[in-house]
Amino acid sequence: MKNMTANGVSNARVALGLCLLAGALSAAAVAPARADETCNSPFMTGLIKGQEQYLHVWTLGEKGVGDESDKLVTIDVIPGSSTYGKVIHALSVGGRGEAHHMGFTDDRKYLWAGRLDDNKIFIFDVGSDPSTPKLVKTIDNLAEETGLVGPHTFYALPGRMLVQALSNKKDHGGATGLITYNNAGDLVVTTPMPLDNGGDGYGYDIAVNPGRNRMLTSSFTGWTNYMMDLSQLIQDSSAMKNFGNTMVLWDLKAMKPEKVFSVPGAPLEIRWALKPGADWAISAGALTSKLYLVKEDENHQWQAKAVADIGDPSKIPLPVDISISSDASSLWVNTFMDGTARLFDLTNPEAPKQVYSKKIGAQVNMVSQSWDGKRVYFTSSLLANWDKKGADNEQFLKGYSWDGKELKEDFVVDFHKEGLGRAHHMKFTARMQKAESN
Amino acid sequence: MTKQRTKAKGAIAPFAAFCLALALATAPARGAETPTPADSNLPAPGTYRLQRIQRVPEAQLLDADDRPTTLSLATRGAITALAFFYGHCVDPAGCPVAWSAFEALQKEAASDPLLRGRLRLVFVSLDPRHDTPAVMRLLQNAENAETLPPWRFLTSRSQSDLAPLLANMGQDIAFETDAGGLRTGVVNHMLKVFLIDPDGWAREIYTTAFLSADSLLNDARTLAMTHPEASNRSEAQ
Repeated sequence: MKNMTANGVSNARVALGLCLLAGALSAAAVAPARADETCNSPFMTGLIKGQEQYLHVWTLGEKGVGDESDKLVTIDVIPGSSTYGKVIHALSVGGRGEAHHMGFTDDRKYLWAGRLDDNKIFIFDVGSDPSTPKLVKTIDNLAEETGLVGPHTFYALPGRMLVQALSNKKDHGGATGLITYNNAGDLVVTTPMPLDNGGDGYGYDIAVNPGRNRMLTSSFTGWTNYMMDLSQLIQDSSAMKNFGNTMVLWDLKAMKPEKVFSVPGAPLEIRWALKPGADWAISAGALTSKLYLVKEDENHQWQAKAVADIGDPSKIPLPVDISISSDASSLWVNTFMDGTARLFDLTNPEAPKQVYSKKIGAQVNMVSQSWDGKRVYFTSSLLANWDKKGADNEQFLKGYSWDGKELKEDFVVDFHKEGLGRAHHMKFTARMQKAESN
Repeated sequence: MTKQRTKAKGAIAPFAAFCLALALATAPARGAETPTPADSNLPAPGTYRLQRIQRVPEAQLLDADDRPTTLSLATRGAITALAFFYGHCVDPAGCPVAWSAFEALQKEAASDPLLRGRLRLVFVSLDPRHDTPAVMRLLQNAENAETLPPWRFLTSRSQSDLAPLLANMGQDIAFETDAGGLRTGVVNHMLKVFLIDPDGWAREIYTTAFLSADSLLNDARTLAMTHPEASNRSEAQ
């Protein structure tokens, strides 16, 4: 195949230019996103490089709290707004099904949100008016259609949504797969996680490097474990063997596994470096408390290796969510058990170093940062049956400013006092974005 | 397969092209191409399957001779690359990217026995108010030759005629207005290119940031291998 290059300006375009001479022109348009606020699909448009306006929290209903239903909670995060840091909208979806993660469609108009227990997927319209999301569709036949359960990660591809399931209907174990829907919510195809060449069948997160046509997936555990009480689980040596120990490199176009990496201890979130030319990704092992780097070696072979400890692995701090800076120079890592946010310097991704830490609460799970890294948000809930009990079951959204040295608390929403439930995944929205001419 | 992909990106839109032509007088202008240094790692054509993503809906359109036509007439029977565009578009991440990719695709397909008789290119205007059939004819005449796969330029009678098609294809648009509420001529939209099989299924969708002629060509070849019956001459003229 020859290199494809469009040479010159065609006759047609010059000719049309003559016809349209009178046109008043502006270069503004909706810009494509190289990546969203550092953690979302690079196929998504409408990157918010400036100030996010609304923060949506996919919230688990909790017995004895408010209406006890799962809900999408919207918080105003516009500085100076009279409702800054306040809940301005809450949309209950009915029941408690283990609300977990969300993802935007490629046009950022719709937000898909999944429940790990009853397998429902809710599609919210956040494009028409992001301050008041509306439920427009519910997919409630995932298990019947695919044989898989636990829709976890929602990752936009052009015109479709790639969903990583965590488990399967047959035995509620870890063998699972990827599900592709089109943006209308119709099933396109189901792709099993590899069980050969070192594959263990588990799944968790998805991260795509489009320029290389490569996708990475990670591995967690099946329904039986993630629905089990955490204290019971960690005492069950047999159950503790049922966690993923792999990451998989895929040919994205072909949706075929290319290489399985041994990455012990349930590698969870995956983040590709967003810095141009930096073809590496990082993940955190929940049970091993290590950061893993996925990168090509000197022979252009992709490899995964442990590059740093997260806290004291012997104390099992349980690393959970991570958030990489847009220039790939730093990484926030939350450790659930000690409720601490840790900042790692990624200047040398082969040897990350922790340079800062702050206790956020009795427990902390998710972290999201703005594109410029100046605002960092944290929520508390991991899984309904894994959250701490009693007074340690703090449920919050906390917003901080980051000046490069210190996290300064800007606001707190107490999800118990507000009668909301367990605060889990966060996504940002803003009203229609103007183009940035890239 | 190539080891070096060149992304056909950022070519100059019609109006800008005209301005550039004026500025450079007789000097040939070049599109602002952005080479992509990374190996694209695309699988070989025919070694993978493109899924049926969505049915391409029917739509009432106008051809370049101001005759009523339908989208299916322009797409069925062939391997079709389709993009929505508008003539004024100068957003470097918008229509010019598709334009460059299509020109490169058309040129390459012309010398490829697998695609020469099977591939069809279609541009559908997002702005029927300005992109009249006469404008479409101008473009179509300029972009077609006996030696090249056909490239059809279609418009519609009105925005309301076009709206259902855009909604069904997930092609979101918004007309920019000035402080007085008047349109500036800019149509905010996320560029999408659709690769459609002879039966009317969208088999791949490309968005701006990662649209490349190589990828289009690779996928078109893959479809052509599984659709030897495809013909770009089956379109009603």
